[in-house]
Amino acid sequence: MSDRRDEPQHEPAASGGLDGPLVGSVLAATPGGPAGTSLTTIAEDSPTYAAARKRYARERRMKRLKFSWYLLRRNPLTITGLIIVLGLVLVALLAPLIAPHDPVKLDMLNSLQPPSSKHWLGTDEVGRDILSRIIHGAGISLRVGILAVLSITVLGVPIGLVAGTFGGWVDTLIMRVADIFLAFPQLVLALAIATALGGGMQNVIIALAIAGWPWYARLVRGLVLSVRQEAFIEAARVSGSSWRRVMLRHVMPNSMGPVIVQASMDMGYTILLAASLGFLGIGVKVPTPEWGLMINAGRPYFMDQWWVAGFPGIAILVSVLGFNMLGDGLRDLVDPRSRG
Amino acid sequence: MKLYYLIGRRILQVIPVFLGVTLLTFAVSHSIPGDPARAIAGIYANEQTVEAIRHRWGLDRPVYEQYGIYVKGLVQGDLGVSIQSRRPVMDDISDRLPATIELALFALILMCLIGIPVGVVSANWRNKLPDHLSRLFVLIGGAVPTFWLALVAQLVFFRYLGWLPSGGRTSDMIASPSHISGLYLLDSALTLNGAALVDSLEHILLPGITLALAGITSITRMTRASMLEVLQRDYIKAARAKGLSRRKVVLKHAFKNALIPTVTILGMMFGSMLSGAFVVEWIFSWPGLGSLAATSITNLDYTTIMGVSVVIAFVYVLANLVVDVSYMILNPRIRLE
Repeated sequence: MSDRRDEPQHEPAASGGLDGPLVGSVLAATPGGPAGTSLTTIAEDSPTYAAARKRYARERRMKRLKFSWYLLRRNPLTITGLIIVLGLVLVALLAPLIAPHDPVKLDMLNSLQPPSSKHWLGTDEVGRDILSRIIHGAGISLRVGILAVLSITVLGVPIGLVAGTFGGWVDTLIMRVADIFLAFPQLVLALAIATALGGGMQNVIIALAIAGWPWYARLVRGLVLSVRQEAFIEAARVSGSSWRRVMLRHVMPNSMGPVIVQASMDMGYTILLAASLGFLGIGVKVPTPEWGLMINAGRPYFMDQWWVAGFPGIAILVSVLGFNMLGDGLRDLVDPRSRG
Repeated sequence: MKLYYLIGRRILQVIPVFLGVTLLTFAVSHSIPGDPARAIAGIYANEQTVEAIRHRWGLDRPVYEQYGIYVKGLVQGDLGVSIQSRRPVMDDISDRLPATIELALFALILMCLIGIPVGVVSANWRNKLPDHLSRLFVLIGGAVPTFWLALVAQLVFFRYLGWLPSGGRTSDMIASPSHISGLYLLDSALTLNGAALVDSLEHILLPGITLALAGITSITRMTRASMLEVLQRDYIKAARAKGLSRRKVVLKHAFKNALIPTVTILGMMFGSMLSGAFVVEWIFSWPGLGSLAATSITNLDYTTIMGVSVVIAFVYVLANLVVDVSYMILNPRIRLE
């Protein structure tokens, strides 16, 4: 919720609504206030005014937060998603403490063991404990997901901002370049770039960022174009702010809500893409317990020892599901039309 | 008149995109660390051989000239020589393209046959049990890793139930149908070759369903959202008010109009089918572009990977062009703008 226009601007009494009575009651309760002052004549730089304004803003914010929390709570899917994501973060942070075995230690005598009380999810082809590997893999998937989405945003948002704010040939040029990137299916482009860069986690993140930025540039550009029409942008320009200032102080904060929602919805998809790259053998190298790579390694044994590749797949499914459910809930928060 | 102008303009827009695609692929393939001449020659070749190869492939020329050579080759259908098969990449690709197109089309049709009705049902019983079930289905469909689903499908339908083959495009005992379009289902139907038709169908079913499930999320969501929007319109209320049954209004009046946004994303869906095919083909040993790319990755065969990427981008852009143009023809409102 980044709609700053709701907040009190300069004239509390004149802007009507909730402002008047609230400021009035605060002022009335303030001891030592100058007798006989009417609201409109209070100097805007007086401490009473500042305190009232601050308090008012805080109350508004609390009310908004409470409503957001209500909207989140109302939907059981969102709460489930939140619990899954929090659980995933917890598992990733506590991995060394909660993993029952060493995720990379070989134990050839106990290879391909079915799930048992010693190895809850069985062992893989070289006797490593699958549960421990999945627990350690949570951090890798989470890190790739967060870093990739962050890089996509950092790359895409400024480009979209520039395109939307400046318009003209800059806009045309940027959008045509974006079209070229969008001509490739995302996985195919990420695959080509990651292969060219030589694999590894860092290169996978770079590849995902290069393949993903046009979506954000497009989104932000659209938001900027709609925000630009608003009167307060014109007012800022008329009162002498530079385009740079208008862009950073007015346009950007007002377009951030949908970007955050999009990013949260893309977390799951990005984790899925990264796992696909891992499965195809690009990305982190063995013996790192990356979930996609684990499925690739378990593939030859899948028909008889299904647990080797089976459980990492369930781990991916549950994590992505969690992020998608949470993302849906967040979208309902920002976009009232999508509710219910 | 206006329509032809719009279609012409849309087709012309494709040209800079195509050029950009070649530029991007060229840039990516040239950012590969290492010496391509050395890669072609092999590690045991002496310095003269490497030098000769560098000269022969134009690798000693300035980058812009190399790009010119690359585009000139592309126009003539030359994508370079595969490092693993030592054949022209174009030959490898044209051998395999029909298989991928057949699989992607089959999955796309399947996806529409499942996804659109689910979306309609979901919208019609909004916030009731069918809606909750379908939304759950869509959520899981969007979260399941395609490559893992493919493995599970093999495990269940091949290993445990034994109903369907685990991979390949045909059985060894049955000859492939005579080549007309390269799409086995179509060719065997056209030549009335019943045995080949059944065999091809059995082989395409598992990869097709897996691929279709991967894309079903967006199509169902889109259908549900646009059905919900259409169902609120006045003409729907009018149709109900004049006494038409709900069933008739939903299926006849609302459905047709709600379908338009769904049709427009079909081009995009075709693209996601193509990238899904990368992993699905590999797992089901489907002899298409995806399995070609997957083996090229394992063998670090850059020329093939780049060639496949370019071809897929071209197919993708063309698919979107076809969708846009048919949309212009079908929807009269667009022509008026």
